[in-house]
Amino acid sequence: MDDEALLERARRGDRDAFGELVVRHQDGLYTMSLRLLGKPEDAADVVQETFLRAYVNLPKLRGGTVRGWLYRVASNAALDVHRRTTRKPTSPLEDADGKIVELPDPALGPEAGAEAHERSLVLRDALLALPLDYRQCVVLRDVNDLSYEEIAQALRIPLGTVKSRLSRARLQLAHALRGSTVIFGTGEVQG
Amino acid sequence: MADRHADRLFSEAYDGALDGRRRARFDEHLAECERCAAAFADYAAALDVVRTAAPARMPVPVHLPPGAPQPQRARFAWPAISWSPARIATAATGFAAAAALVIALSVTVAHRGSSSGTPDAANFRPGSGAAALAPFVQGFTNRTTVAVPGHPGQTLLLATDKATYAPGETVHVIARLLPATTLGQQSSASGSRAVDNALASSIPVVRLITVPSAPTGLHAPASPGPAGAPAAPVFGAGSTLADASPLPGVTAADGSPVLVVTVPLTLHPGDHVALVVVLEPPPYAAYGGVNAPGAQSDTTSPYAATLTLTVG
Repeated sequence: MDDEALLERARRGDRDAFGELVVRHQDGLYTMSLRLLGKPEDAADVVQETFLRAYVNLPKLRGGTVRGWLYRVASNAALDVHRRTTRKPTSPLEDADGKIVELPDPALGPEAGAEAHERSLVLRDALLALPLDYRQCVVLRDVNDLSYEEIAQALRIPLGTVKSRLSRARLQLAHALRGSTVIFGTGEVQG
Repeated sequence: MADRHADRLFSEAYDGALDGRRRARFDEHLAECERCAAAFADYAAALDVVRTAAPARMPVPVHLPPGAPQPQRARFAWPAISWSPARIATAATGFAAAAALVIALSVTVAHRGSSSGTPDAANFRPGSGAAALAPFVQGFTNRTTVAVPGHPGQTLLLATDKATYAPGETVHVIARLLPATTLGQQSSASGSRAVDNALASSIPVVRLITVPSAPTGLHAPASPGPAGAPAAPVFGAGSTLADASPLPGVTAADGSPVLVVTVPLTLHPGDHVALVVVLEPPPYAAYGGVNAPGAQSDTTSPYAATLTLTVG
């Protein structure tokens, strides 16, 4: 069943249909939030908040995709978390017994080699160095592979703005990564 | 394009989004300009790194509120269990009080009061009686919050507009599940959370219960925090009166319903009533998460938050 059909069923009260949307999209939304905000705890908060908001406010889509809508809810939630956490540090997640849950970036987990670990850190730092509105565009495009139209839907900006922000963001990001010997080694950087 | 470089086209070229003519000009330029050819190659290589970085997996389960998912701008519709007048009328005790309650309720709702255009009205979703209630909704300062065990990040909020009511007076109630650690203005584990960004979700039952006159006869309001045991619900200790009903056409600023229940006429100044919100199992299904593929049902036992109101 495609996303649109699941959404329609969820609008009619089908909890399992909504659950299927959760299963399909939670990882993508988590990855977006992680690349956007940098911290696993914040990213998990964003995903939880996204689905809680979506659950009680399911739209009738008029143009646009389910993915565009979900990433819109998530982008708003991520902005809220970003505003909050720039004022205070994140409070850690707790499990059912009250123990602090450590949430390492899975890409940095033990199965990743030391090299992958370093590259992941360089990528993270390069992304976090971008202004937030640029970062949103490049994450949605190059991490989540949303189309230009979906990005416009998710961020509520015109298509032209998507293209220009994306262009500037990518130039800045590519420049930062090009300069990294971790990513490209010593022999490949030009000019 | 001989006098300038092609950087501003790199993004669309990378995506294959340049139309025929622009693509031809771009390719021509790269054929002539070593600097751009090399720069574009580096640019593409860098973005390839980003695009091929391993995706992350949501590491903890997503919790959904109880009840069915709601479409946008739905007329407020509660689960079938609690709100019919028949259920109020057949409450185990206090039938006469219940009848008085229904009458008192209609009297209260019909009385619009003065519409003073308070500043709070701007935060208030319009509906009948909205102006009369605006002062109440914004200032729900009498509140308690309880962490829901087993569901990190879920908090049960119970709030009323005042702490002391006269017999026959209407109690305005907001009862909600709040989401995680996240988006409130405060995040103290023991204090109340701001509701600005919180969600509405259906709460099964809110009851008004008479209790022994001394507040020490009650269990203390639950102390939130995952390590603390929840307060035992009070409703076993008193007599259950009517369930709260949603006020038609009126919602709080974030869309959650405002519930009303009326203090029985039979009570006297100095009496206490307990307002109790009960979550009944199974309230949650946890979906997905790296360690918990698929849906799981919780079998959490009933969980309650209690506010003590004084009759004055």
